[in-house]
Amino acid sequence: MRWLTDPPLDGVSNMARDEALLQLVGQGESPPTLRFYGWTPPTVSLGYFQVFADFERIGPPASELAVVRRQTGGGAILHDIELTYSLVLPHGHPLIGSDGPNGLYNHVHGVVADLLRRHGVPVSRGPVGGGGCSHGGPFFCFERHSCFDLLADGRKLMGSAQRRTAHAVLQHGSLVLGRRFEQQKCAAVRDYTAMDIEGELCGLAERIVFPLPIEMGSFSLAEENLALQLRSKYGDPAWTQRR
Amino acid sequence: MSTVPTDRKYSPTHEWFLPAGDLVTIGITKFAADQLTDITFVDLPAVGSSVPAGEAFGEIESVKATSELWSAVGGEVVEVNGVLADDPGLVNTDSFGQGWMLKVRVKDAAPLAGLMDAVAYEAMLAGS
Repeated sequence: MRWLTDPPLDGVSNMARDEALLQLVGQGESPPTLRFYGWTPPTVSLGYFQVFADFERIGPPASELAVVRRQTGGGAILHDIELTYSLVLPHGHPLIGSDGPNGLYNHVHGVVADLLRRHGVPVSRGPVGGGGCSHGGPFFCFERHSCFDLLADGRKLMGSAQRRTAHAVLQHGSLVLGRRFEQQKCAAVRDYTAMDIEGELCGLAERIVFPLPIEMGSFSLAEENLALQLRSKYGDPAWTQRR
Repeated sequence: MSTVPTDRKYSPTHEWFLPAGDLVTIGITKFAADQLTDITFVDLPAVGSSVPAGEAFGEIESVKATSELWSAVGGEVVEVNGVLADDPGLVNTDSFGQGWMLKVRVKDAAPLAGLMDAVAYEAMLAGS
């Protein structure tokens, strides 16, 4: 397994880099990868099937932020002070257990929950059922609670979503560290602890891929080139406003 | 005893293909639907459009995942299961019947010969 840590990037770059990994891992050109990243400037990401007009209707300040459409479903996310991860695996990878890709949610969220509890965060799981289709329900992902989500004091703290292609699975998700916008109706790690998440990334990576070995790496030239090409897709209003 | 219908062919990506003359009905298997959990939206091509062989023809959203739908055969879409627009959960409850997705008129049915029959598909599931 390879572990990548990107500096905070704009939403177009972030989504292009996740898709580049999904394509190339699926083609066997890239190794299974765990990527940590952040966002600058603050950006709203829309779920794959969400309607752009709903974004325009939410009002400022969120509606005045940068916006990008994800490959994954569910509700919109206001990405600001958070830790984001993507885990990209080919089908049949050992981390995908016998219960299929759905088990990856519990696996990654369980590792993060253990870390947060050690720092005093009162983490719980969301209710059975519920969840996050793009149609109906609150616009923002963090106002929807599913059994896979991590909550603190009844508010969502972490959520993830997947895209499955014929050859690989991309799971990415957000752990909210802090809030600056009134429209972020969620919990944040900094409500409970001043822990340094950057200092925890190595341990998190090791626990997420355990018992497999992990090596820190960087984007390959092929990945960088594909991500560059995909920037034109994610930066195109025709993609962002396709629904 | 087989739990998947023996009258059709199966792809490694869990779509099923039921030929009848030059029409092929396409859907996804119960295994695939169970893996997706509750399906909330199915995005299918319009009647009259072309489905390329070996490429994605649509997408499906469940509570927590979006997935591509793949067709082994190419052809013209002659019918789409419009019921799924209002009741996508049919794919969960009756994936081999009322949860069908497309009917495609194929010019070349040869790719079907390369797909799995029910026995081979179940063997693949048993090994997964």
